[in-house]
Amino acid sequence: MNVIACNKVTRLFDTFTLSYVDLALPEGVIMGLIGENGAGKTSLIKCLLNLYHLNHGEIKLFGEPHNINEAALKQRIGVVFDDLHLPPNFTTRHANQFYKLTYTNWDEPYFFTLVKQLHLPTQQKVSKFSRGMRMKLAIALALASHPKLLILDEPTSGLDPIMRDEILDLLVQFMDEDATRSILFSSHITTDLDKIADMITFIHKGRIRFTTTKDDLFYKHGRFSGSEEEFLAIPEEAVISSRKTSIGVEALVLREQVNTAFALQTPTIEDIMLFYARGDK
Amino acid sequence: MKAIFYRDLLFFQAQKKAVLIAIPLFTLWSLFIQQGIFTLSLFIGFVTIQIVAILQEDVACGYHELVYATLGAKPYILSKYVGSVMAASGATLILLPILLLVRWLAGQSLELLLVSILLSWYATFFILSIIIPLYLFTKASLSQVIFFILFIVPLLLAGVLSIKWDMTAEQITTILLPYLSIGAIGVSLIYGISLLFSLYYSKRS
Amino acid sequence: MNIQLSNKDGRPIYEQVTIQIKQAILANELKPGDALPSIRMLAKDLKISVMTTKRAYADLERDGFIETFAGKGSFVAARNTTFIREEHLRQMEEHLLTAIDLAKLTAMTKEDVMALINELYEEDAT
Repeated sequence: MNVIACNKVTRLFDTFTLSYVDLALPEGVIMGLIGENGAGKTSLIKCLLNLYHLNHGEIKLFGEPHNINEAALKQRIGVVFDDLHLPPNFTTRHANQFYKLTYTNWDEPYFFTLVKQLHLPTQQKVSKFSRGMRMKLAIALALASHPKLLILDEPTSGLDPIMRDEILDLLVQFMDEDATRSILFSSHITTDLDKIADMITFIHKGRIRFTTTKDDLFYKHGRFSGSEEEFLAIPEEAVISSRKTSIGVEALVLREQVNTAFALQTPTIEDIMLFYARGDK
Repeated sequence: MKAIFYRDLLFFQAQKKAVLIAIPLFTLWSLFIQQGIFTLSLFIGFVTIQIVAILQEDVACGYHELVYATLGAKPYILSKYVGSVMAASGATLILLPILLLVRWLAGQSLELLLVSILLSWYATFFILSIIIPLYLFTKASLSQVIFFILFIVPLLLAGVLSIKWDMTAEQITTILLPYLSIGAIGVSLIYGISLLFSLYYSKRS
Repeated sequence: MNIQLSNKDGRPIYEQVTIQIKQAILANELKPGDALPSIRMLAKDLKISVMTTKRAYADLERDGFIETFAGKGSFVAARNTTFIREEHLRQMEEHLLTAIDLAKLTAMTKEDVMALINELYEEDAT
């Protein structure tokens, strides 16, 4: 079953348009949503959460329209925005109380276990929290209602690598506990997604450029770098995009359509994202 | 909705000290000026400032979006409109014994008390009808400016009028008394329309 | 257990995972009852998707190499000697078939191949 299913989701904004977004997140999968700032990641997430209405298309969550039984659907979803979004005079205890009243299956003991595990203070106001503490609290709050779907919008941006890894481990632990859980995780820090995502969706200028499993991404694409003569021997349809460098040509190619004699490197998600974005121009 | 009110209550609780100091001061002051309870009942209007302060904070930290994302927009919007009525009622109930005391000490009429309280209510809900949708759907800075104008202009107007025409509170009361029921209908209508508009517009955001 | 994935290997990723876990079990690196990493952990450590590790584990379970208990995880199945012998035989057949293919390419006769096998067998025995 698809936990998230977007069908031709379209929404017009003043500066750009989210156009004909088709997206399917299967159960049990971590999907990374990548794209540069302003590509439409946050807008898409806000559409999923019914914060923006759609001009066209439909969204189904757990197989149900996202805007009909909204409150009931949201009981099964945990949300983490790019910041904590709690009033400044809240403490961790207040946040617990607020979420306890919000979610029917709120697990208070589990929440305080997470708070302890993440070394978060309980009596301090969140306005005094560091960026890392704010994000850790936001994630603990999202996890403690045991949601089936976790939606995270840039949860690791602005955090140091150690803190990022801690958060990624928490997400893996969350997924490991129950095979029916799913995560949609937007980030422009692609190394985070290298580590934990199963599927990658690349959004560029409000459109989905590709959505595929990470394995296909890594093993079907190859990164060519060599001289111009060598590059000319690669069939044109195999090349996604290329660019000249001071020493020759760099290109992203489809491995299957290239003679195995070429030494192709495994690309990173960042390589793939950059080459696809460039191919757009 | 309980969750949203919990946040509002926490906010009010944080203001407790300020209110505990302000009420006795205002009470004393109202005893020595001619308008008496008329001034003191304005205190109900301070609920508006509190509600707006909460809205302002919600929008600034993105809390309203968190509520939209976890509960939906409807409960949040409803809570603002229902919560305001509850807050104004609460403030009136708390203030009532003090108002009665001041009326007795200053020897003012019961009509004046009624008119004062009702006027405060009308002003409160008229301002909120305009300001809640503004905060929810437009920029916070614009909302702030409009709120300031809405709050200050009537006060200034009342001040100027009473000085210029040299009317006592009791005289103003006699003029206003016939229009109170129309006022009540008008303000409830505006407040209701504002609520419906906010609920409708939240679906189109 | 050491798993190496290669994009030069023509086989799909899930098959590379399956074969290497089988080899580890057959080589007794993984003993009966040993816990395997969860599909999520293995996916994270190999930087592949959970769909792939899930498929690999399903194949391993189908072939009787591992057992999965809901809520507990996957474990190396209790040793079954005839089954392992069969797997070894199957692997041997596969290798011999490759050898025969190569023999044909180099125009060796069946007798030549047999002679070579005999020779290698004797060498190995000594």
